[in-house]
Amino acid sequence: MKIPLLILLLTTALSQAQDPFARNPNEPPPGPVAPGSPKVISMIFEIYSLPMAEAAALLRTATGDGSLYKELVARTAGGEGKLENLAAVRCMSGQRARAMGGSEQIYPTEYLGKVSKKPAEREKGAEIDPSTSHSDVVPALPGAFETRECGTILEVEPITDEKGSLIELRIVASHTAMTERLKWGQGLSQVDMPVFESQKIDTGALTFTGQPCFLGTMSRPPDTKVIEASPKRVWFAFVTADFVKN
Amino acid sequence: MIAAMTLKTLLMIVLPLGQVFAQVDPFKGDPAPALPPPNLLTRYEAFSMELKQAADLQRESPPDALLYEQMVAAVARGNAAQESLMVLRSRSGIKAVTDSSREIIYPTEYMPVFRKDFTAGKPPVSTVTSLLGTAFETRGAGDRLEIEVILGDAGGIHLRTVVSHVKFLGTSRYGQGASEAEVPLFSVQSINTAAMIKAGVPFLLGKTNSREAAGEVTKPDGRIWFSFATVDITQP
Repeated sequence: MKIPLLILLLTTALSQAQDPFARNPNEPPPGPVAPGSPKVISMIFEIYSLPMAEAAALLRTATGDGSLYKELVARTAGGEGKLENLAAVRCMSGQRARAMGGSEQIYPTEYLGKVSKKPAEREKGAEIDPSTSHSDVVPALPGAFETRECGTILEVEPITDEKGSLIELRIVASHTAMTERLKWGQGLSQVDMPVFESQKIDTGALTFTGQPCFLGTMSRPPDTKVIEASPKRVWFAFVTADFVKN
Repeated sequence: MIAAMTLKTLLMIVLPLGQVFAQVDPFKGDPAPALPPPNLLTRYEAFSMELKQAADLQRESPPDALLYEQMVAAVARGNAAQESLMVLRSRSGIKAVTDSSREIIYPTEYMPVFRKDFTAGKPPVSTVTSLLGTAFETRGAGDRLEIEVILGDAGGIHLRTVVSHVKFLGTSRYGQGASEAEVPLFSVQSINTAAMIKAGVPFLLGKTNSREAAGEVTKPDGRIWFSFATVDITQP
């Protein structure tokens, strides 16, 4: 008697649960993309790093972006190089797209200095006790804040030519990290301010589809405070743009 | 008269035929496809060496390409150091930037914090207890390269560049006691210039002194930085 009741309850519960993949009955069924519809472009952004001396030597002898990319991948496999970052974003020709992976760091931009206060006794005209009567000194109080996006941000605007083999790319890539706080002022008025380390490349280039394009370098600051950072490494930024083949 | 007309008619028939055959010449290849406009790859390198060596080199005044080779060789021998390497690909006529910096946010205004002490029968006494930073600015400390490269018709390259190396060295203190205020100390090496250069040939942008902290001020560290830019014309 109990088992049929359990089956009934289970069936009811399953029928009430919403299938996340169920389609709306009014929605037309998916079909092939109509010919001539805008193509989707995929942009893969990669960063490899090498020690500065090796990076300089490699760049003096590099013959092209493809060979440079292959060499960095090989050196990364060999342990000499390092893959520092990977991000990707997709959009259509002529559209701007943005991908972010990171955190939002909120920090104070203003501190309040309202510190002096008359004692209550003086307000009332009462007898003043010198041992207790003084104004209050208020510790530094943050009064306004801003938000800083930390992490990797990739902003792109690709435009394809008529043949669809060449892509004109406008790209801004940045990598930001909050690494420490500096203290300013003294005593109760001492305030903290964050230090952000930012690496940024903002440029435009022409690239053939499917081929890695060397955008340039966006290394860590020379006196970086990132704990795991190795000193004097050069970051090579590549982007590979290609049409999405679905 | 008739013969002349016949010749004219014949020419009218034959000449267009010749043009037709000329168009379908199977041995004539397609015209070369037009190349897309090139990209420009700007490589910035800074080397440093001791002041005396730099002065000796300066007196030899070699051409830039030779000077660059000498610097590379000096780095290999350990007589010079490679201080910076920044590379930036761009298209002709656009501004491009690569920036690697620590953003130091520091106070530009301080406000004294008073405490008032009241004593019976006497006017209140105000005492500065501390200084509170109330206004701030941000300074990027690191390496920054900003370029605008224009490819000329004759293959010449017009390079406009602003390059800077900024270091946060610490703080300086001004005032005394509870009113002592801190301000940051930065060392700056920068070159802001424009030049016509040859593709693929290193060009000396300039030489700058580097400095180090000495207490609350800076002093030269006895090294000179040689800043080179090389622009290569590359196809996509």
